[in-house]
Amino acid sequence: MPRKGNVISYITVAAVFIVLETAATVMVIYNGRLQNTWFMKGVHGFMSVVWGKTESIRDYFSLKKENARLAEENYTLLMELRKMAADDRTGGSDGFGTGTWADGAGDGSRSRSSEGAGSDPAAKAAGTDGQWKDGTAMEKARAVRQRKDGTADGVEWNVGERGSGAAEGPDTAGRYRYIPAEIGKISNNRQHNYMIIDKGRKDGVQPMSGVITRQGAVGIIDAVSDHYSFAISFCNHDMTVSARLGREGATGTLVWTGTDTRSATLDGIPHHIAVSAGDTVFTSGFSAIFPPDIPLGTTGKKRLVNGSSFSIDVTLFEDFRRLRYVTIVSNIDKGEIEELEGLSE
Amino acid sequence: MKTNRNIGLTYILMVIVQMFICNYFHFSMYVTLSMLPAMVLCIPLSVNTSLAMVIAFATGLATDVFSDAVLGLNAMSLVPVALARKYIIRTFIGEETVEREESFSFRKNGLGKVSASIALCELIFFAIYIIMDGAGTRPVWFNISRLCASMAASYILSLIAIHMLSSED
Repeated sequence: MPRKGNVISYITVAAVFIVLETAATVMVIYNGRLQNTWFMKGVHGFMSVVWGKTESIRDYFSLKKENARLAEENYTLLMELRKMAADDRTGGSDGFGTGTWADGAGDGSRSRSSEGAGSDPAAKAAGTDGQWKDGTAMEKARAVRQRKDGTADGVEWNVGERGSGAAEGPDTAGRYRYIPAEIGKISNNRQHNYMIIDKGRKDGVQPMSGVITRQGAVGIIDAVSDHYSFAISFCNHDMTVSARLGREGATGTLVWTGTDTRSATLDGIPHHIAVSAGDTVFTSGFSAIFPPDIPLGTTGKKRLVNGSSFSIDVTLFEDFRRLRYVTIVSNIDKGEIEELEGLSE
Repeated sequence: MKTNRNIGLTYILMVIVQMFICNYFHFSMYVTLSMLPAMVLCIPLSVNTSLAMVIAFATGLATDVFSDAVLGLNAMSLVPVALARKYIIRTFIGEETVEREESFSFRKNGLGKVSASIALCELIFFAIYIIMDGAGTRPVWFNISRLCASMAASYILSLIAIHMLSSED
């Protein structure tokens, strides 16, 4: 162990050395043009590295804020796209005639019979009760609405006629209302995965709303508190999504395989339908939960099941392990549709 | 036997000689002649490292002032030699010489050990000197060639310097 005297001696020597070398360096820099240039170049290089690193660190710590800003911007742009797509649809291509939608769904005043139904979301979302199997229910809904409003095909539906008394909100496109949200917690390693979302009842979230991204339908809201929502992830055996091959193709049921977070199976595609590997799978829109035409994944191998339908492997677009920003989507006509279903049964 | 006072006077005289060498002996761009590292090596071991560094700094600065070199260049190169002086002597000449604060000489310690000490001092000195003098404008091969040529050329001068400053010879 060094003695105290030795330590002081070493420190003195080091201090003298540093002082003398610094003095000599300063003299060299001030008296030699080449040395001055070289030194300044070195200093600038060092400073640029330091500034670069500092900036990188600052950028890293501001990533969360930047991500949130981008997510908000993304949401705004997507809403514009959705509104445009909805306008195109109401132009006469979706079975709703030529009527335009201006139903002021953002007011939250419409009753939803699905409220409180969160105890069995899988049945609602995927089961025979909850899923819209074909377009006939839509037609029925339109007929009921026309009966209530006293309108006929081709008549414009306005706010007063719908009874909500407000114009279409900024978060509404067509018959869907969209709420941007962030996932607070998500599980991916179980057979029954879930997610906690940072928007709740006070933000307008209702049970049985869909959770989507631009690359897939990722879950269904099961229960809501004032500020948070509990959603069942698509990576859950209890959840299925009504999906369509291409934008105009056959529809089937997309279900998670349970093996990894990017593989699913599309069941119930009739065997006479030509299916090629690499075809894109979209949401069908027949469900009362998810809007149509959200890309879900691409097809892979197919298998004939019971000689009547194909079961097709699907590679999902969405990477659930990187999932963070989502959009909660609710069908503003869902209550009415469910009411209609109740009448028909 | 030379006294410390004689050594001091000889040292100052040799600094003046070094100034002349710097001003008038330019053989080639590859060769820099300097006996300053050997002179610093010969500072008596009774002088502590801090003081030796100050002496080396003053020696280098004096040479810079009275020669056409960049001011501070010799001083900057010589201070590390003074810092490493005792370690070099301890490594090549022996622990006892440092502990007893004896001087070293060719006769007592042999040409090989003293030459190795000189070589290491010159390596430190010229490495710093050449790098700073070139200031990043010269290629590595040029700097290495200049280092080798300068060390070889200065070795003879260093032997003379050690012979004159050694109190034993």
